[in-house]
Amino acid sequence: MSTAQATPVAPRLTIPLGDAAEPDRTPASTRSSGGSPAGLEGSPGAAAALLPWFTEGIGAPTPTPWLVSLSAAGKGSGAGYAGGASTAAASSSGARATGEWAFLSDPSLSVEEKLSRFMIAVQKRIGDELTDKMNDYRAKYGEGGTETKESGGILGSILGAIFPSGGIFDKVLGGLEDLLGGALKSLGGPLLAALATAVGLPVLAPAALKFGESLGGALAGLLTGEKAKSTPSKTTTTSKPTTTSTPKTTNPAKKGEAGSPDERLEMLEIQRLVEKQDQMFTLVSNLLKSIHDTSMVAIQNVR
Amino acid sequence: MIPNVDELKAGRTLAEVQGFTEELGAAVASLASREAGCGDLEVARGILEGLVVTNPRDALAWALLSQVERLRGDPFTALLCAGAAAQLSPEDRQVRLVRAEALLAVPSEAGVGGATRREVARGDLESLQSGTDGVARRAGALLRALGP
Repeated sequence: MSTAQATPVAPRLTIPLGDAAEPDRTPASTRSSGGSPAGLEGSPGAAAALLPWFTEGIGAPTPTPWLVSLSAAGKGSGAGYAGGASTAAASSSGARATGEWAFLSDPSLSVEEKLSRFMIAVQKRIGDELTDKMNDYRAKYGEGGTETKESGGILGSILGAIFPSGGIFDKVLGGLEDLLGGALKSLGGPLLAALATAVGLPVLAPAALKFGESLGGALAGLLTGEKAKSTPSKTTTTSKPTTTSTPKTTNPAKKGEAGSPDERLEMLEIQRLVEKQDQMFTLVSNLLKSIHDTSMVAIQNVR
Repeated sequence: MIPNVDELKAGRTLAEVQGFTEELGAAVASLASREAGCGDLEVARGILEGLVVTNPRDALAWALLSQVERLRGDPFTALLCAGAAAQLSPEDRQVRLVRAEALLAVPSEAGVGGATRREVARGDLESLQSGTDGVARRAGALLRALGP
């Protein structure tokens, strides 16, 4: 394009749209009340009065469609995001034991008292961890430990959390359960896990992630199966090996459901925590016993 | 930085683990909004999916994703995302408007509650149209489009 063609465009860009550019003129809002034609060439105020959806985007950075405005939302609560540098510095500066470990720096407590309190605190932590692990296991493998129960449970739980029953959504979403379930399945692992976290079910997130992966794998398997079937379509239906080969492809999935390595790993983790708890009991018990023995020896020597 | 799985399982978001601040989240959401405004919905969707995975507790990111899914022609995913946003921030006007839009986007012949969905959305929009902000204007425009 030559510069001679481009020059007529320039004045269009310099047309003062705002009232600040021409302070001697009356504002647009007052001009619009004078019965001016409400066409597209009329004042923006008059057009907005009749066609607010049409003029919605005028002057806005994103004209169409209407989208959630981050500036209008203002500064949010910041839930889920990392804190700023000041908060990080504040949290890292606390070297002194506080909270449940404050007893360690209490000079009025004896060593025995500190030991027993230490044992209680550690036991509580291990107990909480153990409960979390067990909840995690229950969420992942359910009562029967089958994948069908798991998938139905996860999707049902997430759907139930998004649209709680007993509310108005029972009427609104009548008959949409299958469609919404299909939409949930199409989300995929990470997004499904994020959705579970968003609706207050973070314990389901690992299972949702795993379910999404298995669903993706199943879909991929289905697609490859379709491809394999498409080439020898008529010969495989009559031959016996194809009928035996289909259960073979489904067997690994069945094995994975019953006692998968992941499930065994979860059980081992729970076992490790129980052993850790046991070790802690033994350690503290031995320590207290040796302290008691020492005291007894001293008392017997005095006698 | 590789996130610790135990931290994630303990309920901390990827954003918290990786030091991803709210300002960064707003910048990413703004970028996605621009992409959606320009009509590049797939790019916007990819960005927003990454954002909600990084911080699932960001209601506005879910609301934006709902709008993008609706514009892509997937009303059911849009409804799920709007539901998640409404769970996180039930009083937010923008979130309520997005949920009403998602309800209206579901085809009336789907399920048995087509008319009820419309009425619920209308009720939401009527409660939102008071005010002078963009949400009120949009709610008013949608109500006029719905008719009496």
